Amino acid sequence: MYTITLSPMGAIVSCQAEETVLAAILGSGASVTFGCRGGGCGTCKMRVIAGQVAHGRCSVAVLPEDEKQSGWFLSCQARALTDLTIELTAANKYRVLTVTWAPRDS
Amino acid sequence: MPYRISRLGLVEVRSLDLDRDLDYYLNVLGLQLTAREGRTAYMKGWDERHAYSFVLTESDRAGMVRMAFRTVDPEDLDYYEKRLKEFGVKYDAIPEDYRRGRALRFAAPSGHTVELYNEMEYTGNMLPSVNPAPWPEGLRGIAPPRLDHTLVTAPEPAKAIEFFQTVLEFRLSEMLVAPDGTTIAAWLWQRPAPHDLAIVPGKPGGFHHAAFVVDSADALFRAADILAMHKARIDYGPGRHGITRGTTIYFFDPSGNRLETFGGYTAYQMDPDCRAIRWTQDQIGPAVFYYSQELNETFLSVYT
Repeated sequence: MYTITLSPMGAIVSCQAEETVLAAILGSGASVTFGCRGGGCGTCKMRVIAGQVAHGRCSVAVLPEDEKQSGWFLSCQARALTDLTIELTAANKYRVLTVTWAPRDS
Repeated sequence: MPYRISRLGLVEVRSLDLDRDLDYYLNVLGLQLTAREGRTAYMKGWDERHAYSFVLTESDRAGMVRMAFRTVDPEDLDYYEKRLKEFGVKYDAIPEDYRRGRALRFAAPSGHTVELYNEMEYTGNMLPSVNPAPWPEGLRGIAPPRLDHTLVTAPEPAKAIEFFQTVLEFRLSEMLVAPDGTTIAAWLWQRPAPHDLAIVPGKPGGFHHAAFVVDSADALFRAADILAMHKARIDYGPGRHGITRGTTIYFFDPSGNRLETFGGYTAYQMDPDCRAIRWTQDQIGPAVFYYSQELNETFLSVYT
């Protein structure tokens, strides 16, 4: 189990070793933008600023080697190898979902 | 004007992992494997009578390698060769390749590799040619009978659309028009169906989807069930397009290429003199997704 810190909002997400970063974020009750979920379209691209990811299979057309070197990864394919700090931009459209099944306080 | 193209003969698509994706294409989508040759697999729907219609090739990226249209008669290939020369389109004549005769290969203004051919090995479908049953038993997955159409992106769609209309003599079935009259997107046909090819705005050479026929309401929902059972990524649907009236499920293969089930049972047929239906830009929502009446986030931005 690794901890992912989402910057700049400071949200903390826990991530199982076998799940993708995207699955971890979506599983935390937040939403970010993603597309094909197959490493082909590049819509779910993010940048890691601390820590290490295993990239998985990604199209070099949307994630070229030099971008990988600067920390970019496709969140639908990447898995955490350490705790991570990820920098999100407006393009990632991060938002916390407010609809839950949890009982309301009365 | 006679029509000279009988169908979208084949599309070739890139895979990031051929072993993984081939398993998906054969067991979830349910295409029939013709042959695997090294890093390329040749497939088709169960009701297609020629050797293959869908080619999957391993690559370091996703997306389309080429689309190929089959001409009605062998002479139509000569006819198009003349037209390519007349319009100054550079092309390569390919003498013969995998189970296919001579082809003409050229680049469309949309940035796609397009081929025309007539001869492909006639293998028959999965039914006997004498006293056949209506469908074969033992199919796996969605098992569409055949490839239907493809939709691709172009940086200047109007130019690409004009190329297919003028040089290759495609007709327009439907078009999406901006307030200033510019064509934003078009659906093009040669066989009497809503479309063989559609072009929307986007990057050069972009592959939006390839569609396979799923032609009853039962089959549509069964297809969605199968995709969900295999945890495939469904992008939209089951639903209906305003344009073409076809029913749809958009979904992605494991490398992120979009595929579609397209329902012929609600789509119409074209007569040669049918005029193009116009959709205004403010109605793009119902034009694309008739039930939700609005575009989703992925339709215009997510493709390979």
